[in-house]
Amino acid sequence: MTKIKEFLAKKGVGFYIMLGAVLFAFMGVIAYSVSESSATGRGVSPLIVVMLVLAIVAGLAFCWKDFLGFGPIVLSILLSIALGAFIYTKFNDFTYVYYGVGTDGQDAKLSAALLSSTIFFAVMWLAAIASAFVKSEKTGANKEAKK
Amino acid sequence: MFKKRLWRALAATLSAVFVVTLSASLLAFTSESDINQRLGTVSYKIINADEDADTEYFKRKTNNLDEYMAQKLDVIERTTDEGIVLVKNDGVLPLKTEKKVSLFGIGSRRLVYNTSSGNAEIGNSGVDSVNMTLKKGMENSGFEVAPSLWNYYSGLSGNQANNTSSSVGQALPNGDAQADIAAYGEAAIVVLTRNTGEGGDAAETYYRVTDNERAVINLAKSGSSKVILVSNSPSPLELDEFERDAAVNAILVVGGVGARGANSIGKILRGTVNPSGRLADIYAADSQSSAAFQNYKTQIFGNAESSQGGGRTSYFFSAPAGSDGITGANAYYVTQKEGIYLGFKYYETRYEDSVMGVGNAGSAKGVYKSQGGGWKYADEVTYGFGYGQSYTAFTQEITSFSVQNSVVNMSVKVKNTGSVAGKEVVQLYAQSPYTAYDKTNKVEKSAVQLVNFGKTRTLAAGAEQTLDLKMDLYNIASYDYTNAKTWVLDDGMYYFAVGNGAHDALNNILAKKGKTAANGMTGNGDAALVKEWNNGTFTKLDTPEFTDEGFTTENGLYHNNTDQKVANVLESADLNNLLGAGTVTYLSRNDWDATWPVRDAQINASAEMIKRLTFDGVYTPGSADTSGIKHDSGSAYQLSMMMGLPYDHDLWDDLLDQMSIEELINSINKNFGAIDPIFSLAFPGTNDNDGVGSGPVGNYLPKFNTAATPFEGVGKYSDVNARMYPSQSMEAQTFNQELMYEIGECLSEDSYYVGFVSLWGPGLNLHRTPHSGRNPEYFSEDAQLTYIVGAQMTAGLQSNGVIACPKHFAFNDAEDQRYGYAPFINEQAARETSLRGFEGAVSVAKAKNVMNALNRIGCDWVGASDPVQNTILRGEWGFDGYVLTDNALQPFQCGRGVAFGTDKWMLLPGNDRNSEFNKAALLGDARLFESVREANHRILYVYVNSAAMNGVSKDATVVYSTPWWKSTLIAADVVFGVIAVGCVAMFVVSNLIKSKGRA
Repeated sequence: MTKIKEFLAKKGVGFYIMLGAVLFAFMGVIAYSVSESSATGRGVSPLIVVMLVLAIVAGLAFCWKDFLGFGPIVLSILLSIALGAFIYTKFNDFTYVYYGVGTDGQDAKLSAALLSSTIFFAVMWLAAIASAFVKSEKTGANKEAKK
Repeated sequence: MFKKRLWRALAATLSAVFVVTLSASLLAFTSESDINQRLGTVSYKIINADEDADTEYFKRKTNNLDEYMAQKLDVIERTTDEGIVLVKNDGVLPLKTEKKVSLFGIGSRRLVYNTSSGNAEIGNSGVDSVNMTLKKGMENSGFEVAPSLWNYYSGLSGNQANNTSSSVGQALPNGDAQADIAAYGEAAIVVLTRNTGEGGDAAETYYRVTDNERAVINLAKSGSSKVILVSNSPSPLELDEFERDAAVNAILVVGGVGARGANSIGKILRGTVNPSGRLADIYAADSQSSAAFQNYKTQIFGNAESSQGGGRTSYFFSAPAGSDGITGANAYYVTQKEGIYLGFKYYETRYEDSVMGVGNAGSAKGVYKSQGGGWKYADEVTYGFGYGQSYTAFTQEITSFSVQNSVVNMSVKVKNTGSVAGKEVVQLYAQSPYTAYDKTNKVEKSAVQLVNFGKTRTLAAGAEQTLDLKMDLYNIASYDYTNAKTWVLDDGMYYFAVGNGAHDALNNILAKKGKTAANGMTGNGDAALVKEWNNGTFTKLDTPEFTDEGFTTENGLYHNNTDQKVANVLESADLNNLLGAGTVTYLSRNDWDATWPVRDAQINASAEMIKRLTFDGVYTPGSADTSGIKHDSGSAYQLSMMMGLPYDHDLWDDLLDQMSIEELINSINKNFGAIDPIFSLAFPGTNDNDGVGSGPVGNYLPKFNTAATPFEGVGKYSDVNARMYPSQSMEAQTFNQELMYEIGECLSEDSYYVGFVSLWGPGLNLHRTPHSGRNPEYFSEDAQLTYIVGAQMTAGLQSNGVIACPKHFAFNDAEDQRYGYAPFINEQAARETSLRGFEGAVSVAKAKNVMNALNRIGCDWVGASDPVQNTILRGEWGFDGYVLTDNALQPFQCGRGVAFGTDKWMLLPGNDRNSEFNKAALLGDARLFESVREANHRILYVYVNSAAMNGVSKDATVVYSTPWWKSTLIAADVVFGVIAVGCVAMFVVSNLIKSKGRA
């Protein structure tokens, strides 16, 4: 517990934002997989799942130690690929909801699933970018560590 | 440190933006043709060797949009002038001298112009200079509208401003608005609105008038002794209480009004236009009383699987693992137990049987409004199909009648015996004998069916005009699905009558049979308006023959003749054949009581049905040896060489041999509303889209802008959406075939200015109940009316190089669960109702494109139904165009449907059928390969003889040309990418500098 406190004491706002991005990526991959695996889903895109998993792994690694400060950059790129693929594969669903035409009366289902997935993906992407703007380690923390 | 973080932030941001932009670009590039359509750009350049050659094979008829818009608005306004139906008038109309009037109801401020959602929603919403308000329309006719009352409704918001909800009229005017009511009390116009659209049906009580609306009407009554009700609804509202209410002096039935309907309402109220519309649907006293309504909602198969998600439960069937079936097939079904007794055919047939005292017609089954126990027509029906009033009076006299060469001919002299000029509609109806053979073999017969109709020119008081009506006997025949298994004309007495609607004509027929009001008729008919034809011989019409002596379009087209013998092909759509006799009881006039429809009990799909629902084992691949199917063979031919050549010309094979497999697949497996250019054939591709419901779904192309301001507040035509037409239900109410053809011509010209080649529509499904969501986009409950007006409009639309694409073929008579629900129906009902509605547009007017439906027929998706698409559509009707899917969002709309008559898939980006349409799949399956090739044949044949080839000479080359938006996206990708890389590099450098600094 003490070690965790010490660990967190060194972390800046960027750490928490990056951690948030990882969390939303985790929620996103679950929501996406469940939604697309259902009978009326379209099936998961392997690219999206792989990118999200890589982002989660990389994100956790960079949260533990922000190697040369590349964390936000790597996270942004991985999550952007996932988001881009999401937009690409779900475009027809966006259009469908936009035009307000329902399939077998399931507007609500489609909209709810699409909305929740979109929110997760958008938040994780924005969080990854935002984490690049702020410190992930408190100033002096590294110097302290090296003493 | 700051600099390092700055570079990191820039690197992260720009990398993210670059990746997302790249994804969006890739998405855009897969839909290049669709985006071109939206932006008015193209991805090709046509290089004609002879630049002086005239390559405008089809030319616009107008010189510019100024000229065209004036004509378009004129057609639209004449449509609503003639489509508004006066159903009640105690003499209050026309308002010749009244000036100060009050407009009541939120609908008075917010008219229903067309559907409430989807492609047929009116364009230019909220732009009053385009979509005329009722106030403006009234003022144009010299009325002064109560200002505070108008402002009151204009100020409403939220639910109170919703003109389609059941809370319409919830708000009652107060304060200044109330004071206006008395001051502007020379007349009170109350507008009641209802509207529906794509994706869902109306609630069961939607067409009932609410207490709130009654309160508004009562308020109107308090301010004026002249109360006019305007029913602004594309589907029948319950109006019975107002028909009986002496304090409601007049009622107008108005569908979706379109851009100029408000002007028509003003003119009709003033009397400058004499109303001449006729109802295209029956107005029952209770909107739930029809035979179809008893079982109109879908049911779920009892053995369907289910899953929860998003707060809802999905029902589906799964294909066995390892099979070629499709899991997720929608498990909803409905049985059309009403059979042929759709709409007025139910009410009128039961009426005749009650007068004749047969068939238990007077039973209490089906009673909704009847007083005194048994069923009574007068209590159940407010206004009949085809009914409408005028400000003047006409007489009709049959001057000649004959049945020869399989055609019925009748001439009717119309005389205006009133004092006001007006137009009259002559409606010809027929009654076939209901014989012992019919009862034994379950051939149902409506007591009255529409045959044909005509409309006079405007006749001055005292003027006359004779109309000649003709129709093929084929259209009066019945389909015997149990014994003869084809079309039949019973031997016996046929009656042909004219009248002010189906009920009036039927009363005339009953009068001819010696019946009077004493027998329970609603009035004494006129036997003089009936002719008899005694058919001495029972006749099968399995190979009907048509000539121009029968029904023709305005430009002389008549029904195709084919070699296909008509026989049963839809037996698998009848649950009695799938699950055993007695599973379904169809409504029969032989015993109304015993066969009255009830809600479907939940049934289990059999194993065979599940296989069909999941498409498991339905498709049998062809030979794996496809070496005999040519492709990529040379480049000697181009599409323009095929202009004017018949479909089966040998040169087509040479042309198709030249196409690569990728090109063959691309034509059918890509794009929503366009076909990509095929450069090897010098084909520039096409732009196609909705619609006919309210007009083309698009703005006018910028290149057609003129110096003029098209509408107040709208600076240029490219800001104007072409969707301005009234609802199709309103158009049908004109009962004017010439006008329907003219609307088609107008839509054709519209297509040029919007840049479409194929226009999806008209909608030809039927109003199975008032509650069907897309009723505004369909003409009527009656298949014959739809046959006739559908043919006229399609002929007009295709008269100048534009392609019509009637939709949704077929059986899409409801919106709930439209993706994949299974309608079960007997073949007589299928052919005489849903299919008959399409037959005119396809077989008479020769539509070159058809959009198939999202639903099934029986267990089979319509797009994978060989009987519907190949046997009936192509074999019997002679269709030689191509079939397009509707929005192919669901897996059950599978690519293998190409082997069953579907030719092109309507696909949003990312929604392809690549797993079925790919090079390896084609090369390994001769049936698939041949089907894809044939689909291309049909598509190219349609477009080579259309405006798609404008600009392409016989020796043209078509080359790729990057549109500006694509160049912009590529540039943006490069720029973002370079900058992102640069920022990453600078971040690395700053890291190195920092490290060196530490060292």
